[in-house]
Amino acid sequence: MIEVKDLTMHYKATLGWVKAVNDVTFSVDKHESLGIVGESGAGKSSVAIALLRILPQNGVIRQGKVLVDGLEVLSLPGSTFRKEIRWKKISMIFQASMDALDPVYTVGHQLISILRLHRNVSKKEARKKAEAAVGRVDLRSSILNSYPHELSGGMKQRVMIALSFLLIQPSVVLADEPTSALDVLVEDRVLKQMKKLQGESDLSVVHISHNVSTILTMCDKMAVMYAGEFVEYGEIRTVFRCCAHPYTIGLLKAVPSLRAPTEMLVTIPGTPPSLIQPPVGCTFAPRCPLAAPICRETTPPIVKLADDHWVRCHFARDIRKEDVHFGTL
Amino acid sequence: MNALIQADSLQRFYKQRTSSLNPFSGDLIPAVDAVSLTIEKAEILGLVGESGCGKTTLGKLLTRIERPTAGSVLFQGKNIERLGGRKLRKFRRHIQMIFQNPYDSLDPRYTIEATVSEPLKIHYRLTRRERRDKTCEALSMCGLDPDVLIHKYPHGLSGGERQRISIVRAIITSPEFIVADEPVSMLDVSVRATILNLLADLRDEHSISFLYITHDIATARYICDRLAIMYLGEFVELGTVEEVLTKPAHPYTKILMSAVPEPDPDFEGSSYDLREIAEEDVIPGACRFYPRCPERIEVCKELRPHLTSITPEHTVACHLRTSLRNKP
Repeated sequence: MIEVKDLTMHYKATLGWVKAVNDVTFSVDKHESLGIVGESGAGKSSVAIALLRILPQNGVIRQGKVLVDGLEVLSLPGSTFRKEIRWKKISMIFQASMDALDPVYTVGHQLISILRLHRNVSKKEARKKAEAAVGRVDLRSSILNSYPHELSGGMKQRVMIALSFLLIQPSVVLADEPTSALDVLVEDRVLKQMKKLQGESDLSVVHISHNVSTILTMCDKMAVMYAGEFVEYGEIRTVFRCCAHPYTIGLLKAVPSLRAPTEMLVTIPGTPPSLIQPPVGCTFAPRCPLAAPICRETTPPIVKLADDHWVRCHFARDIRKEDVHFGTL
Repeated sequence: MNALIQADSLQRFYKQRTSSLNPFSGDLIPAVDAVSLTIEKAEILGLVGESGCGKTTLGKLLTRIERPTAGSVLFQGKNIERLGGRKLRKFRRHIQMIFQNPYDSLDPRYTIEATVSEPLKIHYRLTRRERRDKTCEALSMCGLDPDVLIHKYPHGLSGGERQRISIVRAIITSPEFIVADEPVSMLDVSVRATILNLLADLRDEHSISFLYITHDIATARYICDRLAIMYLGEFVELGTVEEVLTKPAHPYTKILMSAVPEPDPDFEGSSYDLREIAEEDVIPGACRFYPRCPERIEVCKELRPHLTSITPEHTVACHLRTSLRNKP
């Protein structure tokens, strides 16, 4: 399992510090999955980068704790983190992961050498494990002898899923937009496979996506991220039914559906704020249809609405979905 | 009513590059094969399919960016294949395109005014002042403030604003027909509705027709009048949005619909396990979808189905539907 407390990460830019991740707190138990949704630039991927400690040169983790299976990992020396935590405890799958396969080695060669780097197994055993892993994502074991260019995008991404979910048996998987580069039908298939694996293993999965529908079908908990902060967090059905942050409400009304009645889709006016100089008070206030003077003056508190549901809004207790109206242009 | 665009058995074949390394060199690939369609005035036709099914090629054929291998396109009754020189240039002002990625399709060194007014320079003889007036008018028509934007550069705009700029650039020559190739797939959900609503407004208020190309059936549903489902270069289903989405007749349409994740944690969709297609699966003369079809029957292997009406507003190319209908 993974527990994150008050994680704050900033980037240094020429104009000042970009406050990309601010006080992010969450926990994901074994067998559980958390979905993080938000617009581009909300800081979703920065969370993943910080958790894996693969910051670019200008990135700094300001504060926070990350506990993986009870062990604090942010304060570990870099070399220990690399040897003991990254891939062994926290594995990852990114949008471009499928392009991370080396074109000059067979898929099997790559899987086996990664496995042997992290686990002390013989070549024969490693091969067996690799065969079993690709088998569980419905690939024939013969693909271990193929080169990456012989596989389709969906097959490569499934190889990466086998690698990150199964092969090294980590505790936590970070999936950052794992299917965004895939075509609709392939995406559907890859997601179903991920969901199946999530259910079968005792992993904690953090699934990051801009696609609200994907998160709603895949995860147990969800966090809505806006301007570097979690603005709403909770059990997925609770957030879906009783969402109380105006941003969440707008986001859910903006998602096209094939089955719901075709009311006009909602637009959230304006653009996300600059993360170098975020607005005083609530970061969403400039775009919020319910913003009151207090929203532009004081930072909203975290309001606990239920055991596992909180919202960062001054009016969290009074807001009902039906009362929030965004323009439909 | 007179159709604005009428395409008749359009075909576009591409030749594989000749190379000693390529085992398929010289083979012809049908990107678009025997596609017929009409688009009425003030109508949005949605064109849905997987990547590589020929959607974009069809869009290019209708705008004469590509020329068909066989078949013809009539625009307002005139065959666009025969146009040349000045007539061709005159035709081009009536059709425009909007592209997927607003970050790539605007020149970073041009101000918004320069970008938007460039088509005017090419197609009309206007003074500088007239061009500026038209530019401002078109910007306000798309809900943008001309005074703020006119001197800005694309890097100062958000994705949604950029895409609106490319729409402004498309409508400035007062076209009758616009091909919109995945206009919202690069944008955040919170601003997609703005673009979709803008396209719908342009249809309703200015009677512009659109070909809306997308892989996402769910967004198509909100603005399209009719839907065409394309598979490997052919239309497999064509009908009003209502008909196609409530009574999908082709197995491929059903599969596409089931693959769209529904924004509801409790929704259990029907699930199909679709095979990936392999080269050896292509059987000449068979239905193109035969190798992957979950409902295939014997006849599908021998005879390629053609688009057949099942109601006046709904046609489908599938033996299952048409033979069932013919049974007493």
